[in-house]
Parts: sequence; C-alpha cells; structure tokens
Amino acid sequence: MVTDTTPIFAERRFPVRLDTVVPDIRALYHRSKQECWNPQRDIDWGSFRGGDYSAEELTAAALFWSRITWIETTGLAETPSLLVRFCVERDREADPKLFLTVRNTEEAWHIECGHRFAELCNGYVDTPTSAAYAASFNRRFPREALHAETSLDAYVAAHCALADGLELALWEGYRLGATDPLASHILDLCLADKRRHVEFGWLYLQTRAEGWDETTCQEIAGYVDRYVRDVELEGYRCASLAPPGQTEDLVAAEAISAAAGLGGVNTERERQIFGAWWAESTERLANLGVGVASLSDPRLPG
Amino acid sequence: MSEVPVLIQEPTILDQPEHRFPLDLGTRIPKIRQLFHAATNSQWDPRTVVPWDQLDISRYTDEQLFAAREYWSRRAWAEYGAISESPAILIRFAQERHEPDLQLFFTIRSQEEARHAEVCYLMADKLGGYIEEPITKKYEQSVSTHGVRKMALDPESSLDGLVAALVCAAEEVAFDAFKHLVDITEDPVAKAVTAAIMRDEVRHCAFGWYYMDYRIGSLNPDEIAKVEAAVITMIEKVELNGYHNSWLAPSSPAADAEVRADVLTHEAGLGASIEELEKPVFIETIQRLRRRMEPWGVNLPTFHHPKLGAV
Repeated sequence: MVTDTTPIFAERRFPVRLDTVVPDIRALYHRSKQECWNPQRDIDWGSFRGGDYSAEELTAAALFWSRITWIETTGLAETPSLLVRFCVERDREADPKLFLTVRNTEEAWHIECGHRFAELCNGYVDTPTSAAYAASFNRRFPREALHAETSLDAYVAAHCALADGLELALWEGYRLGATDPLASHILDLCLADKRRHVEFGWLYLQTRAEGWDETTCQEIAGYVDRYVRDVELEGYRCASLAPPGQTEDLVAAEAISAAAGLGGVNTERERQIFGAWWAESTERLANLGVGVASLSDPRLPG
Repeated sequence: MSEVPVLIQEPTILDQPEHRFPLDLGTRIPKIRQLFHAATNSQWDPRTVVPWDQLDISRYTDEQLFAAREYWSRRAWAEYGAISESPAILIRFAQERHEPDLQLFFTIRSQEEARHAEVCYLMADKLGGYIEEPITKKYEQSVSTHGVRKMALDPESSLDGLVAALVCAAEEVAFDAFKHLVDITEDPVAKAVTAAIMRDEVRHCAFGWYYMDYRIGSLNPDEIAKVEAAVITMIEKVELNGYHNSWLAPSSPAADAEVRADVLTHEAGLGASIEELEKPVFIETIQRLRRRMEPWGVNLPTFHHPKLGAV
C-alpha cells in the first residue's frame, strides 16, 4: 500500500568536501576504526555454561536478548538513511558521514551478538507475542530521517543524542547486573561502541548549536518532546512503559534474566534509569539553548 | 543569497508502511554471511596501514604532483559517491526484509567505501592538497552519479538488476582497474593505497556474484530481462562514459585535461593508468562479464565506443 510521497533533497555532489570540520567527530571516527572488534574472534562463544541456569532462566534470557536485538535492528535501515540525509543536504560536514558508516557496522555486530546469545540461551524469538507491541516498532524512522521537512538537527537530537543515550543508560544497567561471563563480555564490547554513538550525537549538537536561533531551538524542543512521548514512553526501549497488555511477558522475562545475571533490569530499575536519563538529557539540551517541557508521568520516579 | 534546495518528490520505498516482524536474523545465504565475517576480520585504518612516511614528493615535478592530486581527488569523489548512494541499497534490503546476510554485509561495505574515500583523500592531501571539485565543470557529469540511490529507492526498479549492474558489472570494472593499478604503480605509497582498496573490492565483487547465484533461479524471464537491461545501461551510460576510466569519457577539453592528468600521474608511477594499458583490461572485463552472465540468460550485446571499437 502506497501512502504519501516522501520529499527528499536532491544532492548536489560538488564540491565534495572531505576536510575535517568537526575535529572531535573525526577523532571519534578514527577511534572507532582503532577499537574495532570481531564478534567471531573476540568472543568465546563456546564458554557459555548453560547448565548453570534453570530452563526458566534460559527461556527468559532468550526473550530478553531477542527484544534488545529487535531494537538494535532499527539501525540497519535508520543509519544508512541518516547517512544519505547528511549527503543530500547541502553543506553538511564530512565527519558525521564517515562516522555513521562505522556506526552501522557496529550495529550489525551488536545484532549478531544479541541474536547469537539468544540462540545459546533457549533460541532467538523472532516476533513479540503482542501484535500491538510488534506494530509499535513500525516507526518508519528511515522515512523520517530522509524526509526533507524533518529538521536534521532535531532528528540528531532525538535519535542520536537522546534515544541512543537512553539505550546506553539501559545497557549500562544490564551490564551492572550481569554476572554471566559471556553476557558480561558481550555487553562490554557493545557498550564501548554505544558510548561513541552517544558522544557523536551530543558533539554534533554542540557544533550546530552556535548557529541555532530561537525558532530552531523551539523546533528541536518540540521534536524531542514528541519523540519521547510518542516513542520512548510507549515502550520502544523500556518494555515496562508499553501500554497494558503488550509487554507483560517481556517485562517478566527481563526480571528473571536480570536476577539470573544474564542481562536485563527489573521494572523499578528500568524506570529509575529512564528518569535519570531524562533529567540529564534535558539539562544538556538546556545548555544548548533547547528548553524541553518536563514530563509528568506517574510511572516515572519523581 | 543562499541557494534554494531542490526537492525530489517521487514515489519511493520510503512511502511504504514498515513491517518489522517476524524478524529473521538467521544465516540464509552462508557465503554472504561469511563475506561479512571476512570483512569484519579484515578491517584497516587508512592512517596506519599505508606507509605514508615513505612518500617522497621531492622525487616528482610540480606538474606530476598536481596531476596526481587531480587523479587521487577524482578517486576520492568516486568513492564518496558510494558513501552517498550505496547505503540506499541497504535501506532497500531492510525495508523489503531481504535476507539478513545482505543487510549485515552492506553495513560494512559502506564503511569500506568510507575508508577508500579517506585513503584517496589522504593521498591527494599528501601530494599537495585534495581538490574538492573538477577543475573543469563539464567533467562533473562523468563522475557525479550513476543513479544508484534513485534506483535503490524506486519501488518499481529491479533490485536484482541493480545488484547485477552496480556490483557484478561496475564493481568488477573497478576491481580489475585496481588490480591493474597494483601491478603497474611504482611509488610504494600509491601502490599500498591501491592494494588496500583492491582487497576490499574482492569482497564487493564476490557479494554481487553470490547474490545473483542465489537469486537467479527464482527469476522469471521478465525479471531476467530487467537484469539484462540494467547491466547494459550501467555499461553504456556509466562505464563507457568514463566513470572508472577517464579516457572513455566523451571527448571534450575537460575530459582531455583529465586524461592528461592520468598520463602524467602514470608516468610518475603515482597511481593512474593510461588508455593503452587500460584498454585490454577493460575489454577483458566486459568479455568476462558477458561470459559469466550468459548462463543466467543475460545476454550482453556488443558494445561500441569510439576508442574501443566493438567490444
């Protein structure tokens, strides 16, 4: 079914500017190349001691790792869309373009790791049980990223700084509670990449912020506000925030997986992480001149 | 006054609804999954893998250095084109939920294209400075685009045709050109750059052939005809227009200037080739493409070009 047509900027290829404009982001790109890893070589997949866990724990961990892998696959199409957007919009810098090519590879490694660990536990699950929750993943972020009427800076704020920031905070929470050596090692490797991903978002915003006027700041604030309410508070990354009836099985599984040390956090911790992330993010945005309305959600800690 | 951006408003795959689930992540095309793993295992950094300190520009004349800067800048533009356009193929793979192996491999392919752009940029820079655009505007037409993004996002465009044209045909031309350069380039740094790129191009080509081997048996005659048309267009409109071999560009003062830059760069041993040496390589590539595609039912016609005759 065809819906509305997506307007995309027509690229004017020349001049092809490849000089460094944002040194910190170019440095991130170089760091990514230097710190590259290999899920096949650097992880001892044969070391997993599944016999140390009950069947219930393994099943729960398989579901938890499947869920975070579903989220990770967002990048497969979103990152190339964002990369193309940077290329077709006039006067966008080379540094983010180079960085995003590496980010996409790292996302692919995370997907392979999550899938493989879920397989080791009790088998990867390819579909959520709730059709409504499954449908909530169909956010069409690639379209959003390439849509000419989407502010690229606002997109970077919502998706690269904030959303990736929430993901990083959650994964740090997963790592903190993980005791299984293999799960811990996977989380450590992925976390190193995710820290760069978040750094990219904020560095880019800092670079751009000098040129923002009041209207731009309001546009970004509005975009971020809509994103957080429509996507994150609907349970995109935090399953416990999804509407009732959608994710109870996922939430319960994550709590069991977390308690077994196989990764995950319980609902209380997840919401604490969300609250802390939101507080930090809004403060950082305010420092860039972007004032975001406060969230009042009874599910979040005050 | 700032330039008003031009918008393209045509139907694309982005207009279609998304369906994330079921989300298959298993290995469906083992050879392509292995390519992804091989690429992961073969990462390199342009800043460290090339022995840049061995580049002695005092050995070359100003004229040679300027020509080589032009040549390596042009290489960087071509590689940048792959950064700007090829990711659209990954969007297509994901949006249409093709085999996960294809998607995973294409993530690292884009990174490799970025490395190629970076290493060519560095080479031009170390020779005296990277040049951001063709000195003569008319040459832009030959190097600006081969329409990959538009084809990849167009829901009516054959994905199989795109892969056959861009990867099997164009990448094969690129690979042969780089292999030839590795053989003839004398400067150790220029040689190291071409060799590093060539190692990645091997996988890029392999991807195309593996993909088509996997797909071809399921294509009907109409779909095979689309593949054939796409490959012919790529060869006629892109390759024979000088995308990888500047001397094939339509003769004009601009194109002639680029060819002169290639000749000077080649004579200096800094990386380019010349018509006399590249011609047999290019002809062999086209002939091999024809032989390899013939079992698919893809029949490439005889191509004609003033500098090649009938190929």
